[in-house]
Amino acid sequence: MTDERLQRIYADGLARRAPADRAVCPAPEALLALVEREGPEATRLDTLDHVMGCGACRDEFELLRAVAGAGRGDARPAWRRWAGWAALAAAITVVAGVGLVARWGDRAEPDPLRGVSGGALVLVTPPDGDRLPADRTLRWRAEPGAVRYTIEILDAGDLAVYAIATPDTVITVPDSVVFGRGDYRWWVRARKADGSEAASPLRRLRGRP
Amino acid sequence: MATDPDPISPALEGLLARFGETVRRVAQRHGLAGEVDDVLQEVRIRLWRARASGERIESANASYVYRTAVTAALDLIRRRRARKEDPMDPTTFAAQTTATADPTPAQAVESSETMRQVEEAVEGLSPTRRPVVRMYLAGYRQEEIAGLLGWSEPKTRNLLYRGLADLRGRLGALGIGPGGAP
Repeated sequence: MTDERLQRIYADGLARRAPADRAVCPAPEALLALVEREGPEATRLDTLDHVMGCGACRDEFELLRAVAGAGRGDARPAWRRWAGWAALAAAITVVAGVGLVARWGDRAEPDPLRGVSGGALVLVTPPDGDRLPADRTLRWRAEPGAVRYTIEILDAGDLAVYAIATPDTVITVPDSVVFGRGDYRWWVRARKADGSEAASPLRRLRGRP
Repeated sequence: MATDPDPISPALEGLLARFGETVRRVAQRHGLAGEVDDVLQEVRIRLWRARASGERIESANASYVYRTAVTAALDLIRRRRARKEDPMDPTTFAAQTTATADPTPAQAVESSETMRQVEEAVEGLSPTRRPVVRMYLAGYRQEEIAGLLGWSEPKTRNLLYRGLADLRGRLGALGIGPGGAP
């Protein structure tokens, strides 16, 4: 069965799936939190799981998404803008021959001291592939106009083992975050006052048990 | 209805018009034009009331209109849920994405059974992969999924790839897939 056929079957089913009692559906505020990417990721995943299986909630979600898209100044959500910048930064990295490899887990980094043109947020320390420093800090360059940074550390299964938001350009990973032997990655997203975003590439990180 | 005795300022009117045009453009793709008109009308009323109450909205910026529109949309959703009516004609989206001829009764039964099996297989996916796979099956592009969740493109691709592989395995076990149902 092709992806297209699967999608057609699923879309048909989705259009017909609306619970008789909407009490089981997420609150409208939860739909908005999903659209605006606010709140814990686990909660948003739960909401998304329901929304993409409930025709009624999906249409409400699309209405809020349309309003949010317009509110950001154009029909293109803000995430697409930073995704575009990230893609541009990645392309620059390739052209510069820094050694980007196809396997995503081995993605190389721009030189943190020189930074990178093209709008991607620049991570400073620890360098790509290094161990978390003894003081357990992660540092990045200030992004012009940024009011808040969201930092995520991902495990090999791409799940966030630690996430925090801060107005600062450094965080200290708490001792309560226990690292295993596997590879980790970290990245930072900046939200700016005008609602736009910038994001860093993923950087490899080895844990500190 | 009487004409508006105290129209909102031309600047705000222009802002609202531009905002409305953008919302409509996005919403039209999902057959939500009616809902958007309701929301925009509500926004206009709220801005007019704010002006009548002496609130300084002449200099209001786009974010003010945006927050007002979000509140209006949330209220619209709440009202529709409270009325327990058909919320937003959930067939509209499918009508756009599945422009197929009416099936025969036999095809309808088969399709309904396949639908149930697909849903069963999706339900069996891990909680991390399931929403990603659902979104993909609902017709969203990979970059839309990444953007909504704030994930990197590689992370999204990885989870989606694994999720779809898992789904195909489950469908295969149900007799759907290559060599199984069409």
